[in-house]
Amino acid sequence: MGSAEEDYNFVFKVVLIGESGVGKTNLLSRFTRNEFNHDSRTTIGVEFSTRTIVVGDAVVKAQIWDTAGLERYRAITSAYYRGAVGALVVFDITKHQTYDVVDRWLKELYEHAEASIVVMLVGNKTDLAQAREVPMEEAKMFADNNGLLFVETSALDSTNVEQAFETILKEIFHKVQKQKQRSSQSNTVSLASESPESTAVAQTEKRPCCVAL
Amino acid sequence: ARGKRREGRLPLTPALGVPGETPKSSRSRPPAAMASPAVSPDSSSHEGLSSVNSAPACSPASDSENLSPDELELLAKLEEQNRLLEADSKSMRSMNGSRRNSGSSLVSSSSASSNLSHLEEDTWILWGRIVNEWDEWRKKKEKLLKELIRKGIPHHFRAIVWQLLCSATDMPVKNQYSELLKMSSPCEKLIRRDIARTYPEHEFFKGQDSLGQEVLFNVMKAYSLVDREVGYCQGSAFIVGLLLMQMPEEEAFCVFVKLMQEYRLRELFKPSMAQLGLCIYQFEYLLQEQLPELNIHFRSQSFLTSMYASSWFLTLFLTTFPLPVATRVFDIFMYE
Repeated sequence: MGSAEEDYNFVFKVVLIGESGVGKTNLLSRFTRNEFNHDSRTTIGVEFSTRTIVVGDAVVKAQIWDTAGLERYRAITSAYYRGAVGALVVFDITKHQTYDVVDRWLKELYEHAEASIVVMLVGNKTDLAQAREVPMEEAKMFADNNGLLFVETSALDSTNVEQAFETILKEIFHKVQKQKQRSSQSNTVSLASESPESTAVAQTEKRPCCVAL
Repeated sequence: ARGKRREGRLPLTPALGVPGETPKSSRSRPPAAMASPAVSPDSSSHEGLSSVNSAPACSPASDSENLSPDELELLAKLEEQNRLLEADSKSMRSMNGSRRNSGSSLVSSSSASSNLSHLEEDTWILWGRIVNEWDEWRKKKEKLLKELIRKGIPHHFRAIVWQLLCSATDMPVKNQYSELLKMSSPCEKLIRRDIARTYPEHEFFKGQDSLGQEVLFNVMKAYSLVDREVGYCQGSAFIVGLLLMQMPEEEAFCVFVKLMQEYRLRELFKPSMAQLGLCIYQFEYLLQEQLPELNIHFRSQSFLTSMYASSWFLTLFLTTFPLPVATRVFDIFMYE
């Protein structure tokens, strides 16, 4: 988990979810190591990586969890949602089925995570545009209607990957800042905190905007 | 030079069609299985070797513990020879017997005999005897057998010894195998998604039309049909993949069925995965008991046991350790 001396103000736990094979692992490796692996291995259980970025005047360490996609693992991965302040729900723009099940993933997410979690819908594999099955407008509208951030990415050619993670981390950061004004908590970040009203605030709050392409 | 070496055959290798192992599988095998080579776990990294001497690292950890440098070098040469032989699609299979008559690699064996260390030879003879007198060893020499397995089963004996260890040599389900392949399974799509992502770096499984991917798919599909409750679960393909590196698909299928049923792996892969939860729980307590400081540190970092240990159980370390090491772990798992 990095050295104890590491200098950062916040640790944000972000989970990657979505169907098997949509490219979660490669999104993660692109963001944290700028790598893409054509022959990536099936993720078994959970893997994670971290990357530290600067947001405003704070150093934020993003701890990103990459979970196995298969439904069956949900039972065990549900524990992994605990403490997550952000989630990327990933689908493959060339496989409509992976988009159809986004609803289910969201449902599970809200069942296990704090209600105030910042969620971003990510349509991956834009490099395969000729095989697109999910129109961008459709996904964008779905995201808007459900209060999700939205972006389309390509882990293969790097398009928007950086932007996606930065956007969600900034959004989390802003939420935390707002909350800080009320309670004076420091290092461990919890968006929901203790008071039910802050949760409510976070929920009804309008997301600034989506990352358009 | 390469071609020449390919044709050479080390003295003991022909004897590897282990006594007692009949070439039974040559009958109605689908074409895929005929060509299934015994791939050594680390073979992928040796394709480019041009000299026998340049391969000191490939001696199997199994037998190299008490050897002198000279012996180690010999052993490395031997292993390299074997590897080349296995990599050669025309060569005879050690265990499966289905290529017995291909002929191209059966050349005089006397020339290389001086290269063989006595120690190595003893190991071969010993394991040959074990396989031959399996029931007796299993019953009366259990302790010694355990010790030998812990030292590592020699590569060429793995296929048969694993089958013997889990009593998978005479299974009725084997006869169903070719029928199962003709059926379609509801899990096919899921399986397909993971085939290219199982040992992607390994030579045997590389390429969409590779033999490795084909037989892996076959075995996973066949299993999903005999065990509808489990069907297909991610993680299990790594176990089957390892089996396929050692033996033809029908045999691998039988061993896998045994592992799932009698070694209770299917409990891990059942839809609820409750058994995995239990394993993690037990492991956590062991950690607390044995390494309390580490446990406290992990906790302080919110580093959950299930985060790092899930795959240890689900793939029996196959996705954690380098293959040669994981294969040794598997040896022990099979017996103990």
